[in-house]
Amino acid sequence: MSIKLSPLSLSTGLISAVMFLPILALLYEAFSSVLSVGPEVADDAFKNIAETVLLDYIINSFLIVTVTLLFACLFSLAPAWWCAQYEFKGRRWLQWLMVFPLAIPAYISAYIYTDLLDYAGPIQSWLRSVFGWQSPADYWFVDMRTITGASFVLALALYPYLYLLLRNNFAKQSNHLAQASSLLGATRYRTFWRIRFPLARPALAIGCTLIAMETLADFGTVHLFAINTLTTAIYDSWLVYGSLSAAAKISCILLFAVVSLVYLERLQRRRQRHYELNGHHRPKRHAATARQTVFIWLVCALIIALGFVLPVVTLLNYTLQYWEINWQQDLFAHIQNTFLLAATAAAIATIFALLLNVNQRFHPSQHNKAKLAVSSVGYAIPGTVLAIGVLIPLGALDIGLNRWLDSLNWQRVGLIFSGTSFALVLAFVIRFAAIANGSVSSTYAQLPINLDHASRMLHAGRLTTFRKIHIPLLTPAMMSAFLLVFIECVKELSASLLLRPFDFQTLATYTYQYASDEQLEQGALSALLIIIVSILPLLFLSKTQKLD
Amino acid sequence: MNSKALTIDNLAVGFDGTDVISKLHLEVEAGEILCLLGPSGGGKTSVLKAIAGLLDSGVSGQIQVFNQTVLDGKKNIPAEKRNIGFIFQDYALFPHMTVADNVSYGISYLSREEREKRVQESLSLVELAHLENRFPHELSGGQQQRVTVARSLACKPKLLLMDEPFSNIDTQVKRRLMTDLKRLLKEHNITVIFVTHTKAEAFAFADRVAVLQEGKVQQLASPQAVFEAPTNAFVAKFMESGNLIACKQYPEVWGAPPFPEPHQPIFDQGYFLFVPSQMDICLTDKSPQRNEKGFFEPHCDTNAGYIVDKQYIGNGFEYEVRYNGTNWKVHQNMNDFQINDCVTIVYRGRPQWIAP
Amino acid sequence: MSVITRALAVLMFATSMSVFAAEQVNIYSYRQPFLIEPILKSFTEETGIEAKVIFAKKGLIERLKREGELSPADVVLTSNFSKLLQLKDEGLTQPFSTKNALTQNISKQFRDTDNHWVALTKRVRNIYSSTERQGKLASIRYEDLADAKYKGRICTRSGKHPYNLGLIASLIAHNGSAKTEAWLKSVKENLARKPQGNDRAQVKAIKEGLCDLSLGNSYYYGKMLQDKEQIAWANAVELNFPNQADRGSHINVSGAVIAKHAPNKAAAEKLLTYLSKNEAQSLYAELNMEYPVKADVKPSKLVRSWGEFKADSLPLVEIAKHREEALKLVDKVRFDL
Repeated sequence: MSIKLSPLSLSTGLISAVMFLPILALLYEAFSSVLSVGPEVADDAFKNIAETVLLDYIINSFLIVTVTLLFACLFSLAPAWWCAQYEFKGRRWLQWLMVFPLAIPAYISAYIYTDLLDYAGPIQSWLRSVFGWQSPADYWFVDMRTITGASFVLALALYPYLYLLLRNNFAKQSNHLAQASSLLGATRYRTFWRIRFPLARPALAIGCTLIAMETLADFGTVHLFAINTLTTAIYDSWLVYGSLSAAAKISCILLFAVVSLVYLERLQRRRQRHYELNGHHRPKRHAATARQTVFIWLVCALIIALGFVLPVVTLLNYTLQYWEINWQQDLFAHIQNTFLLAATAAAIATIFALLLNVNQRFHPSQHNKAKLAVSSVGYAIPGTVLAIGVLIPLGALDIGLNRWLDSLNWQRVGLIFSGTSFALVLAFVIRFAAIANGSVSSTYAQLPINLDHASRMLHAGRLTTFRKIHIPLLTPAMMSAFLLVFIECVKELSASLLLRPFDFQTLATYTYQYASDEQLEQGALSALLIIIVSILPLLFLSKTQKLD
Repeated sequence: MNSKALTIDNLAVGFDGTDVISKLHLEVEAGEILCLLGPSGGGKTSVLKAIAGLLDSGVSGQIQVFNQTVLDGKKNIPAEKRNIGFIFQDYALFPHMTVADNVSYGISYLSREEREKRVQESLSLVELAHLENRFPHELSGGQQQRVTVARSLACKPKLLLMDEPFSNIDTQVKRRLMTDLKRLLKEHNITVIFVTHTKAEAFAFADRVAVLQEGKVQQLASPQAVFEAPTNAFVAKFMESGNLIACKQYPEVWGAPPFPEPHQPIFDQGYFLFVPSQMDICLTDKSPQRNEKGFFEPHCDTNAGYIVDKQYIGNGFEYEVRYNGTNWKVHQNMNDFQINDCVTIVYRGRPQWIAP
Repeated sequence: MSVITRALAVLMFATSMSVFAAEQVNIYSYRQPFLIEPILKSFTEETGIEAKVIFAKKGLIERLKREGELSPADVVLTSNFSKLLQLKDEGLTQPFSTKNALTQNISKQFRDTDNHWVALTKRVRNIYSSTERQGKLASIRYEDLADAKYKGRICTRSGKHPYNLGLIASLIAHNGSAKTEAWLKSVKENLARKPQGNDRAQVKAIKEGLCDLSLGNSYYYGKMLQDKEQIAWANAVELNFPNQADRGSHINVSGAVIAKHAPNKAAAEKLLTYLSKNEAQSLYAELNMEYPVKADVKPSKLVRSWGEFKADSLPLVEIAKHREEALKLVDKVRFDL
């Protein structure tokens, strides 16, 4: 297979190279430190961690991913099914309300939940005062600082991805198969578990991969819950042991886990290619009975209350209680920064996703597929590690550039890459490319290739085909890609914290000053603003997608 | 200069190391409607795509369209520059465009007035001018198909390729659609290559039929010739020309095989073709009896068979007779026989010898 | 990377250019900005130099390293001693001039021998005890936390937090590695719950009756007394200075360095000098309840009310040598798991 050097192939090659650069830089660092100081010294930290706690960390990571996925399925499966299959009062509202928890950063709900449900928190204190219990030995209460607790909070923040994918899938499933199943005597339950559910497996697989990657990369939440995972090991070895090489080695374990996940997901989808959903037989929604409506609303309202209302109300309460500390003039500047930054990163991520996907569409090949895959790995890298990965090449680039300018006797330009929001935008794009890529490729896969062929047979070149056929048909997918990445960028903390320039705060970094010292009360207003800025595009998304 | 619309020489198409088509030769006269007929997976669509230029890799050989070389060892002119029309099995109408926009898609180089005029012309030809503002999903299958025809004709192609164009159309309207379309294409002197796997469509639409199997043209002739004089066993079987009996199984009781001595060795390999309409059956006096298990089991004479199936075919009946180890299809006008009757077979005329 | 992206990024929020413009000092801070803001504000008022801060708890040293000669950072503020040493060891610092007022203000004990770093405040690693269940424990020693009588009564934050690592390192320095390992094991046995939260959260847990003793820095006590909600937590505990009968309580320091490639070195020296002077030192004392390092500046009234105490006199450099070993011990006894 010859590699053609078209502008498209060149630009996508460049994009995927840039997206993979931070990872390469980290690996290079790891190896070069082994070479320079000798394996014994460099491996010391890794050896120590490996001999003592690494296995526990790996098990914890595995458990937390598994339990989070279980919770996420629990929160999303039934509501997605109901919203896709039943017509009931308020369905239009409910199906979008279910997405709202996406706007709440996991580290904030984690803070609120641990605070609320701790031994020292209001609920347990109240119980003790009511029942006259004296010590923890007197009664049993759910322990939040466990894997289950952390998974619960993570799942509350992440389930909307799965919910959105499943709902779309359920809504598009042809009714014929389900009808065939009932004609063969299957009950509704059997039809669901044997027909509907397996048909939804591709959506389930993509959703679960996204959630698993985000969970693996999470540090803030698990740290609050005092759970040690692979991410803890990476931070320990890097920041406490001071061994970037050990950190890179553990990152490799993490990357390996992620690559296997992605590979399994791809394998899954390849085997299920015959599950083409036929758009001609869109199911009609059943009218739900009054009892069903009440039940559906109760269950969904509970999930929304836990995932959205409770954190928002708590933050409102904090804001009002600590109004003087919370109200700062420069919050407006932070909103503006956050908005611009997130919008720029989201736009770039969407354009990149489009280019990578159109390249694979026009020139399907293994190496173009690899470009896409490589560009999606960033989602699984913990934000701070990614930030360092971005700094390594950009810092070198800046230094090289300035020395070159010196040699020409020109004025230095300073850190124009690593010291500006360029680095931040790049980190965001790399981190959240997976979301944009997934959104665009799943829609691309639904466009018959014959549309391209038809266009070409009508004298349209690839560019015209792309402009006149692909772009209009991909617009909804591109919009949701943009908005999802936007929301993630608004919430992003660790990379922003490390890469931001002077005089530059985002809402997340501003909130963090307080949250980092367990004083979220004092940053509650900016936390609320994060949620509001994220909710706006969600409302927009719900407007534009009303038709289906 | 010759009058060939299309010349294909030594065409080979392969994906992932396996050849779908190898060493294909084909010539199509200008103004002719040629049908590529064959079972699924026979490489028909690949041939169409190679002609259209939709295959970017894995294709070799020479293709000339109206004396212009579009494919040879050096060049592979891209699809958009070949001026060939293509009608897809799923129509591939652009779902976000109206009927009029779909039709005007390929003629954007024309001025606005000319374009609108051309769209009107093309849509009138397929009698859809009144639906120009509809979207594709608002049309019936037949209407959608006519839109794709209009869309292709708007570009005034000299060569039109059609991939299973009638497979999604109801039988009732299919006949009328085919007649209308064929007249239209002939009026405009458009050369057509179309692909199908049903012989009825080939008979109704094509001037000539090329039977394709395993990437090779098995026979290229008029529909009648392909049906009545298949060149080999595959074509005979696929066209359902008649009863194909291996030469070795020629019933001895019928006397010597109907060929002179010198050809004897060939008989070991080939087949005889017995056309059902030239066969007769006569009832013998034996009637079916029950066996020990209680089922009817015919006990016929050694030179007789028994009827295993019977089917009404409009102008008579088709009987399937089990005789001499094979099933024979026989056409009779009368409803005289029942399943399990013992019958003898008579053939009027000489069977054709068919190569293996 | 597309030209548009770069243009957007540079045009919309390019800030690195302004770094060379006005008279200002750029700070990379491991401490929350709101803790140091009042002090920086009065610095600006006095000198006219604007102070700009980037705060992060992780990775600032790495950022500094990567930015190399182009780094805009002039000063790095750290919240513990080991970071000061790391900065010097990695060659990211430069000495401040010895004729500086700084060297007169701060005694040798709290300065690098080559003047690469300077401590700005002291904080004691205290043992908090429940007023109700334990009372004041004037003679308690860190070593006592291993005593079986405290089984299920101790709360602490992660063993890998720099404050705890410092303490463990000082125990290794005094008692040796083997004894410290045994100590760490016993403390783990005595824990009421898995290490979690920050120092305040432990006091809150004492107040709620989850445990009786906790480790925590001194200034948190003062901070809690100032907060309308947390005052209840502080009122439920006693603040004890451990090891008063022998070597004295373990102290840690916050401090500052001047970055090797500081573009505004003069301003940086001014800032450090200002931070070492009476005004800033008493602001530190009043606002953050930390102990000043300048000998003649008194702690705040509230802090003084906690009483005099004896500090461990072992040089911090000696303690820092055992930091890595401390870390290994924490992992070895699986303290956090």
